[in-house]
Amino acid sequence: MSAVLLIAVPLLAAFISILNKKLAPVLLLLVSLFNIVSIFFYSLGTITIGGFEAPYGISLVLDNYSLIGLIVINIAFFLVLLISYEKVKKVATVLLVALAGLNGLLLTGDLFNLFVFIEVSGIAAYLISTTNKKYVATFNYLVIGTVGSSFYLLGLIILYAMVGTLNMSDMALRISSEGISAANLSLPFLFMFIGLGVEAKLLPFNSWVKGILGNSNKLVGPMIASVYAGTISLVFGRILTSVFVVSDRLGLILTVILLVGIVAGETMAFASTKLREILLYSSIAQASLVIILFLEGITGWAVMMVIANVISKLVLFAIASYTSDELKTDEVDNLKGIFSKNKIIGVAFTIASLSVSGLPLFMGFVVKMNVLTSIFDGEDYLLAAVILLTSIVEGVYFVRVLIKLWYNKEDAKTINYNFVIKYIVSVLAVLLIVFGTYTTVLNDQVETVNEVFEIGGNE
Amino acid sequence: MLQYAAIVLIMLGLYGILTQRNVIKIILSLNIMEIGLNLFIISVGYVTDGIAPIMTTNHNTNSLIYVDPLPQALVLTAIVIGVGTTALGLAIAKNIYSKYGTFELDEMEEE
Amino acid sequence: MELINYVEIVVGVLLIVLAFLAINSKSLIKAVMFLSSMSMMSVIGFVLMKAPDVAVTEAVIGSGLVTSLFVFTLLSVRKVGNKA
Repeated sequence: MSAVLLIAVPLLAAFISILNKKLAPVLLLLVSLFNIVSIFFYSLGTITIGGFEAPYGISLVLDNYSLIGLIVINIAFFLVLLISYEKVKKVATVLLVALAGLNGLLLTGDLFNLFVFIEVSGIAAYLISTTNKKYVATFNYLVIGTVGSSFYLLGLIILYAMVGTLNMSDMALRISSEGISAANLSLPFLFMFIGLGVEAKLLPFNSWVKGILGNSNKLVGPMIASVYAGTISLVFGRILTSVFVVSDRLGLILTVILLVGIVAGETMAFASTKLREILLYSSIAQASLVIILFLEGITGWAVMMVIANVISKLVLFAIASYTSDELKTDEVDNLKGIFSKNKIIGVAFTIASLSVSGLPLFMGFVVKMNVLTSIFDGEDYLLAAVILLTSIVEGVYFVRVLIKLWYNKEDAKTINYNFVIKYIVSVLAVLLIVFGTYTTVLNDQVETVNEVFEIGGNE
Repeated sequence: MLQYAAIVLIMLGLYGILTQRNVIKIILSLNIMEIGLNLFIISVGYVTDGIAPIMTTNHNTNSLIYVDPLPQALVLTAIVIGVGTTALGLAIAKNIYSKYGTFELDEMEEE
Repeated sequence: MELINYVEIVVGVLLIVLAFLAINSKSLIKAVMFLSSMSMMSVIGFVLMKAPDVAVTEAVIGSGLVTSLFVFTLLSVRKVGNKA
């Protein structure tokens, strides 16, 4: 079997699901399960499509980096489907296309193919977000997303005119062998950075996030905030580490912009009073932080941070969106005391939020500590100070929210969470603790990821 | 020469997206930007005095100068994707109209 | 060769003027018509740059399908508006 099945089977199932609307959700679950199981049987390597060898044809790359991404994203996708099964029925075909697009984004080794998959998964994301029934917000998302991917295409074609290839590894080779200077590369790089930054929720390009995630239901919230965000971060990582050499000056400018993004995101999260808004601003800050880590070259731990974010955002957004679906409000003051009635949900939410803010015992702490150690090794004290400061701010507002939500009050509203979401969030929370205490797994994975980029990398 | 027109078209499309407050006009500006982008991509592969990259009985040798066929393949894909986004945007615009009764973003009540 | 240069200049200027008119015209249906004619101009541009396959696709999809999508949306909306 070759890994192209990860893309081909969901696409085929999408066409079949049009024929039989009733079968479509079942088909979606089956295909998603098939993807998870089949990942473990693929052998690593480059897959050529259509018999054209790598620089000429489109190739898919399955190395340890994309393998980790595929495992995490496919499992997260399946869990989101289980959590929001009654919402899935209407958009089952769209979700199948989204699954194909996300797997394609992680697997592809060709820059134009990446553009096609950005559009495929993007169009699926616009359609998924229509289940919020906020059409103006979806329209904003569509316009900004389309402009962003057009910019990506513009940067791509300038790069093609300069280098003469579209294959990622071939492009990295030619850039170094033909001696194209980093200053010349900065124009196409900036265009592509803008294009991917729209989807990755980076600061100047993320005005769509508030409309989509601020009104999210239990399908849109976890899907966009956890699965999509994780995928785009990993794509960013691949482009930053294996294609481009960022010049020092450009890297400095980007780092400053991203740092402003972190600070602004945390400040907005601190200032807002709605549960989902706090979470979305916090995820904006996390996305910028991950991109900074990729820019700084701390690839292995950046991947671990993406995984920690996928797990904890899945728990947080699932609970927050489920609660506000049931109660039709997400003002923190109106939700006082809901966790004292639902202890399991409350504990899972607490663990996930403390892991995001980086308290000991949880996965977020291990990741943040290793990241800070390598930043201190690089003697970049400003970056370390910002990360530490924002961690404190994060801790403050999460604890503030948690105190209100745990506050014991007699007339607290009761919500009947169904058993699926209870099981899933508690398993994920246990996973966060396991990774937080038993760190050898993480260290091994970091080393395998770093090895991938040492062989074909440009350091 | 046409690549300058293409760049101006991309800029005009961006100008339209930023200044217009009508849903249909914004989708239309997106289309203008995409046409400009497509022209620009084709102009990247253009070779002066080259011929179309199609093998016929009249031109079946390799000694002729062909224009680069790869950007043309890219544009074919980009055109189809553009139609997909336009159709989706118009469907959302229709939903917006049936909800608010107008296409003007400023006249809609903010929620 | 001189002739082709002049044609290119004329097509380029027409493209820009039509795009400007499409963005700034008050009537939506007129704007869509300007977009359609602009698309036809871009078809000529593609032919001039030796891309006949793209030109055919753009003529059918860009000029035909997209225009009809816009017109159908505007027409269906007008019907809804009359009912309300």
